[in-house]
Amino acid sequence: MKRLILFLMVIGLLSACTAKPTETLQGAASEGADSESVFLPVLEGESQEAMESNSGETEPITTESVEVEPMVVTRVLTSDPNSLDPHGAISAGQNVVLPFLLDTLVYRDENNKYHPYLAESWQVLEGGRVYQFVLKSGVKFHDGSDLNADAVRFNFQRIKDASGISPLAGSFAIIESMEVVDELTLRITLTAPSATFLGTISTPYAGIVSPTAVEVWGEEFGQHLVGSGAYQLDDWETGLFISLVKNENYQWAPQPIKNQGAPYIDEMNFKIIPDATMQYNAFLSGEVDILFINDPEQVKTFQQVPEAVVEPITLNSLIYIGFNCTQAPFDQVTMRKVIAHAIDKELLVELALGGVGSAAHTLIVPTLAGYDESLETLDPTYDPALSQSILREEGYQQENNGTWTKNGQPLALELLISTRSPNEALATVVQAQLKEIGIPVTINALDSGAARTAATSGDYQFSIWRYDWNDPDILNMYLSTEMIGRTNRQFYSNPDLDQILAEGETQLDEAAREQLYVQAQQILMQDLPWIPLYVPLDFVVMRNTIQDYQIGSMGRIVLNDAVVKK
Amino acid sequence: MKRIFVRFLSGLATVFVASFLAFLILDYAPGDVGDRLISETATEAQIAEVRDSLGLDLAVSERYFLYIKSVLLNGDFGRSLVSQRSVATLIYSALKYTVILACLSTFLATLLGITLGVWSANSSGKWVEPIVSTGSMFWISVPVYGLALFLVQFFAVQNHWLPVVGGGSWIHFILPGISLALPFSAAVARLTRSNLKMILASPHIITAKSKGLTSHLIWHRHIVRNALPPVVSMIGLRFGSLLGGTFVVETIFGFPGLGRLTVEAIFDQDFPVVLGAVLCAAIVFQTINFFLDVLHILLDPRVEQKAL
Repeated sequence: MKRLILFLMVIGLLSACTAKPTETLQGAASEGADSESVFLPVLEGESQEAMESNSGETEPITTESVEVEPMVVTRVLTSDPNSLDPHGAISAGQNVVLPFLLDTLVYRDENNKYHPYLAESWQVLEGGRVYQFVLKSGVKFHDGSDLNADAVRFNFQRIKDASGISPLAGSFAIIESMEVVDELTLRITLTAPSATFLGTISTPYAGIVSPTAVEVWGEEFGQHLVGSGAYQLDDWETGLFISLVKNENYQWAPQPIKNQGAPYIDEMNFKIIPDATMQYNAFLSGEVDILFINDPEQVKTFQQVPEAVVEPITLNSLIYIGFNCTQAPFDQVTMRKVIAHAIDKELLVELALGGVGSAAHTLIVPTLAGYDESLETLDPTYDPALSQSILREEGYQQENNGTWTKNGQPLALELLISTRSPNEALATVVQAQLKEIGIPVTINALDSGAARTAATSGDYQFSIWRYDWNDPDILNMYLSTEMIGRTNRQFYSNPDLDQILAEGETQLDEAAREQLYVQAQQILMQDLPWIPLYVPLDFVVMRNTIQDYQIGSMGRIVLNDAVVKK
Repeated sequence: MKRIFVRFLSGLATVFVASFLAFLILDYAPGDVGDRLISETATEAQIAEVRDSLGLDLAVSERYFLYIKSVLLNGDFGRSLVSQRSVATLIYSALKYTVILACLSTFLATLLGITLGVWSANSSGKWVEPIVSTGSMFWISVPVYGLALFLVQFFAVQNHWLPVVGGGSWIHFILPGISLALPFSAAVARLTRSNLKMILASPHIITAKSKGLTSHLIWHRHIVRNALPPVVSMIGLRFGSLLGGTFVVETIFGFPGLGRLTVEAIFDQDFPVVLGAVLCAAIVFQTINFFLDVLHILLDPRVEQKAL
């Protein structure tokens, strides 16, 4: 009898467990039902197989659309973005998904040129203080509401109001006022002319979302994003996948894209796979088609895979050493020089990255305006003997064991890094190279949030840091006096530089602007708040069946023209 | 009965202590969810405003009290500070995966472990025993990570029989289920075998045999009854810890269970989610413990007599 009870309990527990998911699966399937679409809505379990067998579909949609199986492309995300609200807090993976779902007023191509997108045209008036945008007519959000001047104004105001959270709130502070001139014309007045305004509004974080949907969904809008993009949100299973279906009414792709209408690929899926090895396995087994990699080992592994195309992309990034310029010993420029001459960047790239990266000798990377090859001569050369003689001039004495002391104080340093790959490897090589000249270094590895707090509050000596930005204005953001306590983690302040960077922000003439950033770099290479280390190489792996894709600004994969061929 | 009641109260106390400890540890860890949410370029005034609206600068005790009050009075576990999703929904959707996975692997492990354990205990001297005992040692020592990668390599990458990652249908549960079940079943087999062998050698079995009871009766009355309770409690406890989430396996298989939800929330310092998950795991674990104790009393009447 007692064992019967035990048996029943176990059976009960098991059946309770299995009942739930079937319900949710059916729910998802019926939600996805679409009256005349070419693909049949499938259960999640089957869609997996559908993905595999369809990633090789040949025919464009034009021929007998009933017979043709849908084209499906799946991209890896390392973590669930949590929220897709472009105007909320930044979230990993968001920038990958958002460009499919929403459009921006202007489009920025991989050469940093601007093209009409939601805005059919724009005029720059009053010496750059006023932008008048004329929107394309007939643009509709996925919920059917109109994308007009009012909607754009609502969006830009929403970003301004999200101050402190939206990554663009700071940049949007320059909007003084907005005026809806007519249904499709919006006039934006800035507090001062801005060379970065178009860049700002071309990022996905300035994407235009449906005001109606914002109202309807309230707090949960981030889970139910409604934009006007080439794809719309279909299903999102937390921690598992996000799936998008194409927007059949799409008509407003930007100029550099040949196909202005709806994309050919019917479904865009994003699968969340945290583990790098499993991302690789999933690619081999055909479950995913696109993924981002930057680990040198992985790059080499994928180059061996016949069905993988490994495409280099640029995020305009630089890895650099940043000093705390207010704390001893790096409050002295000479001490910063000691470090600069002691680091062999070529060797660093070789040892820490297996050669996947290129040593950097300028602060503005080659892919950004303001880069000038001649500046490379200003970069302190690798010369450890010089480092040691500077130390002697500075009054340090070398002990018998090779270390240095000044007034009885030993010279030992602490290097701050965040625990993100490949920082540990980099820090270890820097540590070894400084040990060569007799400076012992301890590595303080914190998780990224804590590392950021430590650096922002000045609680460190020197650090390895990274920028990814689409404009040389990054120098203004990271090194101007105004940004101390926020993004200027060097606590570096130089009024001459501030002046030049402020001019760079408002100078609309491109050649003159580039010259300003060359000047800024000349100053910075003298003062050395940063030592550029290397430009990382990032890659996107694409299955070789995907054709006619484009790579846009900041590594964006544009699939509007793309087809999947066997 | 009294024992059951006391057991229940102590379980309840444990749940509260666990949640408070989780809160304290989270508060003590460097940084908070503000680091995750506040934009780099925010000014000090903006930072203060955001922190204030999230209640991040209140005292720990005050925040804990507010949280528990809302849970107890309104049954409201709050919303994730990062995604704005409701914590209850997040936990429900993670728990459904975890529960199925835990049930499946426990079922497999029990079936396989007990079968092998009984078989090897019964066939001492023959080839079965050495194979089971060294085999189980091997499976206990194999790291789950390695096992999972091996299974994926064989079943998914080489042969395309099963998907590599993801969830959503029963087919996705097979590989993670086996990865968890194999080491688990090895532990069950070992315990079953050693228990049985101990009992088989004990005087009352020898007596039973010598007084001529049938083998069936001896097994039914004397052996299984005595050997089962420790095995059941071991299975129960491991089942409980599986229900708390299995971060490694979930991460490898891209499985959205409770373990990954918890760890990711810890990284984001998203305290409503962490607390919800800890509370949930503690409640589940306590409930299982409670049922185990009751089961023990059912299986082995001596337990209650001792307790009383």
